[in-house]
Amino acid sequence: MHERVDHVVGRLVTVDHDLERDFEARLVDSSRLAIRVAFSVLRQREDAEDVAQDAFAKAYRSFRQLRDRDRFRAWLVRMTWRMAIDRQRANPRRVEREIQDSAQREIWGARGAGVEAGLQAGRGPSDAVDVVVEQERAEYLWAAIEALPEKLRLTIVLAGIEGYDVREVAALLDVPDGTVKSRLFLARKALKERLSWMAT
Amino acid sequence: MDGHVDEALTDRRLDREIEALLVVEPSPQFTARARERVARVQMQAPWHGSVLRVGAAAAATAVVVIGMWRMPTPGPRVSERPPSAASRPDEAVTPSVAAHPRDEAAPPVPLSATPRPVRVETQPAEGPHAEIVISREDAAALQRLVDVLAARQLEPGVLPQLDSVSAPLAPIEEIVLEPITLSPIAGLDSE
Repeated sequence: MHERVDHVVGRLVTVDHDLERDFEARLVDSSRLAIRVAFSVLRQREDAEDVAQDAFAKAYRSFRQLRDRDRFRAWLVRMTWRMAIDRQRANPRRVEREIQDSAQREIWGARGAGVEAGLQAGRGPSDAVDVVVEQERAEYLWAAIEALPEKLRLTIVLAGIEGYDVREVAALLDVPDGTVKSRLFLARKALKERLSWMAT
Repeated sequence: MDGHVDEALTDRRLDREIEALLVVEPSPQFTARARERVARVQMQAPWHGSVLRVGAAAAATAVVVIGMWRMPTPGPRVSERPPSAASRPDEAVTPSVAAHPRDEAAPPVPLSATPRPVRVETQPAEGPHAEIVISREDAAALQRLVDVLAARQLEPGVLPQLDSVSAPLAPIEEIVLEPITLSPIAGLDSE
């Protein structure tokens, strides 16, 4: 009988190797998605990568139990989003301070670089001003997105990642297409209202 | 992000701006670090498995102990029977009805004072303990299988296919009982 059991154990080891390979392929395939989802909450590249790595480790722990492997990306998106939100809530002050520092660096960096590049290219200072305005617009857009209710926020963010269409976002969120359409409509409407002063 | 503040904020433009906000590429070390964390999870798996094994062993022990505790001893057993009634087997069968008419000297007994009925429990003929003796190698192989199951390294689709590797069972030989003959005891005829 032990030969038979050894045979089964040998097959299990093979199954394990297949599982590892499958997971590795998904890790490579979904890294960008996970990082961008985390970044949309944390707005810090290092934190986003950290959360995405944690999400992959957590996903690996339960990967065996995931019956429908095609649902992996949807599963990973929801998990990464939740973990990023948790991290943000766990230490909101630190995250906020880092975001502000980063934004200031970007703005001042862009101001300096924009002015310098504009002058070197023989252009006027208006180009440098454009760069600065662009950075400040981005800050306002971030703030407007963060003010959205969580469901609308995730939907609009996913639609903005890698140019996903309604069907792809619906698949990632596991909701009907119509729900995504209505959420996108509400999210865009709220963002436009909040940012309307910028369009004048 | 167009930089033209006077442009109307259309859906398309809004989407473009959001897309531009989220353009973050994984760093070159990202995949390696993610693999490292996954490997850490793999290292923790044996600990996780051992906890499961201990839990499974404890549960199995508890089931066996409870089973042995609740399992009655083989053969007929008389319970809840007063010691004086043990010498009168007829009372054991019909205690409250059969006993009283014979006992003429006894005063009438009120219904509330009637002794409780005696319950006779019988057990099936075969013994309660069934033991299977297997070889040491088989036991070791079974132990490995249990370890794999406890470590959750088992794919659900594998077990049903065990039928294909199972050996056929040997046919059961027919049991033939010799007829029993009773011969009278020699000493009893003289009485």
